[in-house]
Amino acid sequence: MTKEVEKNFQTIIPPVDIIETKNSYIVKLDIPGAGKEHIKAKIEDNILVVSASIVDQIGTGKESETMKEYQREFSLANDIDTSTVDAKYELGVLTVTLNKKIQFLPKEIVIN
Amino acid sequence: MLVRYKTFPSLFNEIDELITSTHPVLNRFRFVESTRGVAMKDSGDAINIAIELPGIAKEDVKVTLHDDVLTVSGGRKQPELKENEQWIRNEISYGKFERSINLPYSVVTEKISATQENGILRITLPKAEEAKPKEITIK
Repeated sequence: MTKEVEKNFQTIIPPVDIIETKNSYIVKLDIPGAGKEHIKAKIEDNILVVSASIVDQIGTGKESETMKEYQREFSLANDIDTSTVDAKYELGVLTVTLNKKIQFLPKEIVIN
Repeated sequence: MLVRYKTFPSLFNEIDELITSTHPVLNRFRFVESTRGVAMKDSGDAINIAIELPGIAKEDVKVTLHDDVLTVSGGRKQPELKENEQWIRNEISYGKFERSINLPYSVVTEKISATQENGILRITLPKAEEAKPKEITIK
């Protein structure tokens, strides 16, 4: 990649699926073409920020080099345990698992 | 010159359309461009095509060439929710898709190759000899 190349920037908001399970929230984002090293996920002030920078989608050349920027933010409710967040990237999909705090898990009350 | 592919509606444009139409606040983030979803490039000796297929395993993708029309089809399975699970948000579209691309040059069908990695399908179609660029010597 040379500096002379004119880059076309696009910021894309990746579509998201969120599924709530008994113990967690599963967040899935379509970020095709990134390697693990291009994706950043961080939690700051209860906001989950997912971003990725992807260069040259077509992977063949110089003159039409395209830069894609993905970013999406999620504000987290206080039922999420931010110390046990898990993320994986597979088939161009980033899956972030946000576990619920123990005190927010459903409890069954035994009737005596 | 690769002009024809812009006339094909993009699956990803449609997704984008769907998101922005259901969430009016997202309208200011519209980036519907012909490069989204499919990129096609003329690299002299070959045509290179890249198609975004996130969440789709290569076993679920089919690529066919008929005359000069390349068709990519497949499907993305909707996750099945178990008991105690519920959707909070569903913007990713699932189901079958099919996308046809008119090739601007004739290609050597025996030498077409395709790879799929990180949700991107890349197809390399070597041009037929008569379609390759030729330099003409000026006498």
